[in-house]
Amino acid sequence: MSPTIALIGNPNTGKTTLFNALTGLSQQVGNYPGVTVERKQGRLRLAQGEVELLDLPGTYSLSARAPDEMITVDVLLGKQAGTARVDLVLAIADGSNLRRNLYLISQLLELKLPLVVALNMSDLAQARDIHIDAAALAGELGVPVVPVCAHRRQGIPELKQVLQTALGTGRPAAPLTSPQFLPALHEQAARLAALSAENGQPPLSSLEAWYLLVEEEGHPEQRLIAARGPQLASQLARLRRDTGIPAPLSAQVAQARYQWIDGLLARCVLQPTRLHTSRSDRLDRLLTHRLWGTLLFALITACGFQAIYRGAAPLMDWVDGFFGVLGQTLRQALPPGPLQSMLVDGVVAGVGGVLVFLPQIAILFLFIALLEDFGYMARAAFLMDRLLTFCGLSGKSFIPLVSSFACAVPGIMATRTIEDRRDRFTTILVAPLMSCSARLPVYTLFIAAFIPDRAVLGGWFGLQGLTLLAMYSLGVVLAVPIAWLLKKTLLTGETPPFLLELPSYKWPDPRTVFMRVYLNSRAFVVRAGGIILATTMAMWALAYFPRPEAVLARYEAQRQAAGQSSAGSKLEQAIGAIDEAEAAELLRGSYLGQAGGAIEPLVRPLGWDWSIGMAALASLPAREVVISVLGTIYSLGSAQDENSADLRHALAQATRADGTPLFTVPVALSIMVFFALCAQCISTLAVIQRETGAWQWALIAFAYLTGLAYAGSLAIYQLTGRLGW
Amino acid sequence: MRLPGPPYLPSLSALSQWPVGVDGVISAVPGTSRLFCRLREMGVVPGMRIRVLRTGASLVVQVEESRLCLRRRDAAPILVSSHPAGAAPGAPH
Repeated sequence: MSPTIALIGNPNTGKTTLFNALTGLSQQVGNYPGVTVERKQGRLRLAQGEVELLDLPGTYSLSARAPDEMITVDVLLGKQAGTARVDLVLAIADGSNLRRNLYLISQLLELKLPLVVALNMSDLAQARDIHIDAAALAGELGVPVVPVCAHRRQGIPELKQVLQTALGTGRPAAPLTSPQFLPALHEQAARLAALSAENGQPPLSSLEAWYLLVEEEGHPEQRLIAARGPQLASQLARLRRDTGIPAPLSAQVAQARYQWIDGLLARCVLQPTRLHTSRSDRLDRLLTHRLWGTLLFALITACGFQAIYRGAAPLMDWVDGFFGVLGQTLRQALPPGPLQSMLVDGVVAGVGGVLVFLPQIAILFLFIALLEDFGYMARAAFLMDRLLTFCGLSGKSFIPLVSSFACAVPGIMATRTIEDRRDRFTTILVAPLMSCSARLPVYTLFIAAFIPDRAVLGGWFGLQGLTLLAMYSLGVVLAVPIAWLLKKTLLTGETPPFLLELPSYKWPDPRTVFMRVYLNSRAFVVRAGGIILATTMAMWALAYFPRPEAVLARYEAQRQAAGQSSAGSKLEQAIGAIDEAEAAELLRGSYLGQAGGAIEPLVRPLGWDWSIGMAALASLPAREVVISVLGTIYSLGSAQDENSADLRHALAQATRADGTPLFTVPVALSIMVFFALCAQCISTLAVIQRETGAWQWALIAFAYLTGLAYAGSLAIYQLTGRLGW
Repeated sequence: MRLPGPPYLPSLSALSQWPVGVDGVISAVPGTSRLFCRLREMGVVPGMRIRVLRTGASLVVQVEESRLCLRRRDAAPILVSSHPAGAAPGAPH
C-alpha cells in the first residue's frame, strides 16, 4: 500500500493551487460518510514511487466545535473509518501572514506525526517587506520548511525531495515543550487519560484528553458525554478547576500559543513595525464601499449573467445540433418500435436535453472560480450580508444563492461553507426559488407566444423583456419572507454571527480555475447519465405504454386507405397527419395520459386543461420536459424545440372542447408562474436529500414549493382573468 | 479606566466604537461562544495590533496581517486600547 500524506492549511493560503501542482489531473472528489465534507484525494509521484495526497478542508485550527470539523482531527489521528492512516502531514503556511498560520502548525506539532511545512506566497511576503529566514524557522520548529511559490510552480521539485526524505526517515515532529504551554493543563490531561483507562473503556490518548479539557463544550466533549454518560461532564469540570488556570481555558491556550508564535517570529522574521496598508486594502476602499462597491457588484453580476446566457448560446446550439443528428441517425438506423423510441425519445431527447446546458454550467463555474480565486467572493458576501441579515441569514448564504441561478444542484452543494446547520438548511430550502437555467426555455416559449412585443416605460423596455425580468424577480422576492418564516418556525435560531476573512486579491491561477470548471462539468455529465437518465426512462415508459392493438390497427387501416386514395406529396402529408394523430391518441391513452385525466379537476382552477396538467406532471424529473411533452400533445411530435415557431403557432391554435382558445395571456402567465416556483426537478430534490442527510427535508421542499407554485399560479390566473387580459 | 494618550483618541473602548483608521491594541476578547473561540484562533487575542478599515452594520478590521469582517454587534465585547508607547506587539497584558 502506498503511503498517505495529508495536506492541511488555513483557507486562502493557496492550498488548492499546491494540491493541483502536486497531483495534476489525478484527483478524486467524494464525501466522507455521514457528513457533507468534501474528500479530495490525488496521486503524487515522488522519486521512489507514488503516494496518496489527501487534501483536508481548509481550517484555522484543529479544535472541533462541529461534526464536520471533527473529520480533520479524526483523519489525522487515524480514527476516520475508510481512510488510511496518515504517514506524514504537509502543512502549507502563507508567508505574508505567518503569525496566524503558525497557530495551526503549533497544533500540528503536537500530533507526533512527521511534519513538513511548505512556506507559500514568499513573493507576496517580499512585496510587503516581510523577510523570513526559512532555515531559522525550520530550526525553531524542528521540522523541514520549504519555501514554495505554488502559483508559479516554484519550489515544487525541492518540496517533493523533502517529502521523500521525510517519508523515508518517518521521524515524528518533536512536540512543543515550551513553558507557555501550561504544564498544569498537561498534568490534568494525563490524569484524565489515566482515569479513562481505569474504567475499562477505550483509552484516550494524552492529546485527546488535552483537547477535551481545553475545548469547553466542543464537539469531542459532546461526543464523549453521549457515549459515556453525564458523569463525564462533572469530571471534566473538576479537572478544569484543578488546573488553577482562569476560565475560559481555550482563551488562555490561544493566548499562550500566540505568545509562543510572537517569540518565534521575533527570532526568524523581519517585518515592518507599523501595520501595513497593502494594494488589496486600497482596492477594497472601492470594492467594499457601500455605494460604489454595491454598484460594481451589480455590474459584475450582470456581466456574469450576460456571459452565461449569451456566451453559451453558440455552444448550446452546437450540442443541440449534435443530439439532433444523433437522434435522426438512430431513427433511421433502427426499426420503429420500443427500442427506437426509447433511444430516440428517451435517451437522446431526455438526457441530450439536459446536456445542452453543459456550456452554461461550464461558464457559470468559470465565472465563480475566477471571482473566488481573485478573492472577490468574500467581498461580495460582505456587501450582501446586510440584506441576508434581514431574513435571518448571513453573507455566507450569498454564493450558494447566486450559483442557484444557473442550477440549484451546485448551489445547494455550495452551502457546505455555511457552518451553522439551521442557516445551511434554510439556504438549501430557498435555493430552488432562484430561477435556474432550466426555466429559461419555458419562459422564452410562452413569452414569445403570448406576450405582445410592445415597448413600455417610454420605449426603454419591451413588455416581453419586462415579463422575463418579473419571472426572475418573483423567486427572489418570495425567498426573503420564506427564509424569514423558516428561521422563525422549522429552523429557529438567532441571526448567526458572521466572521469572514477577506483574503488578499491575487491574479487567478489558470490551472486551479480550469480544475474547478473541469471537475464540476464532469460531475454534471455524470449526473445526467445517472439520475436524469433513469427518471427520463421511467417517464418515457409511462408515456409510451400501453399501446393498445386496436388503436394501432385502426391507424394502420387509415394509412392503407390513404395510400389507395392519394399519391406523391399529398400522400406524404396525409400519412404525416395520421402519424401525429396516432401519437397523440396513444399518449392520451398512456399511463401518463390517464393520470393527466385524473388530475384535471385539480388543475382546472389554474386555467389549465388535462394536457397542460399532464405536461407539468411529466416534467417532474426536469422542467424542460414540459416543452417536449406539449409538442407531442399538439400533434407535432416531440422533435420541436422551444425556438420553434411551429410549436408557438400550435399553442396559439389549440382550443378547448367548446372551441375557445386554450392558451390566453392569463393561462400563459399561470404556467410561467407555476414553473418559476415549482419543485419540478428530481436532481434538486435528490441533492437536498443528500446534503441534509434526510428525506424529510426533500419532502418539505417539494411540498412547500409545489404549494407555493399552485397558489401563485391560481392567484395570477384569477387576478388577470378578472382584469380581462 | 483612562490611560495616558492623545486627548482625541479613546484610550479604552469597545471595538464597535473604535474610530476608523486609528491603530490600537486588542486588550480583551472575552466569551466562550464559538465565534469568540474562532476569533481567538484567527489571531484576535490581547496584545495584537488592530485597525478598523470600514465601519457600518459590519466592520472590516485589520488584525496584524489578517483582514476580517464581522458584525458590529458581535464586535462589541472586544476591547481595544491606544497603542501603549514602547510595548511590543504580543506582549502580555
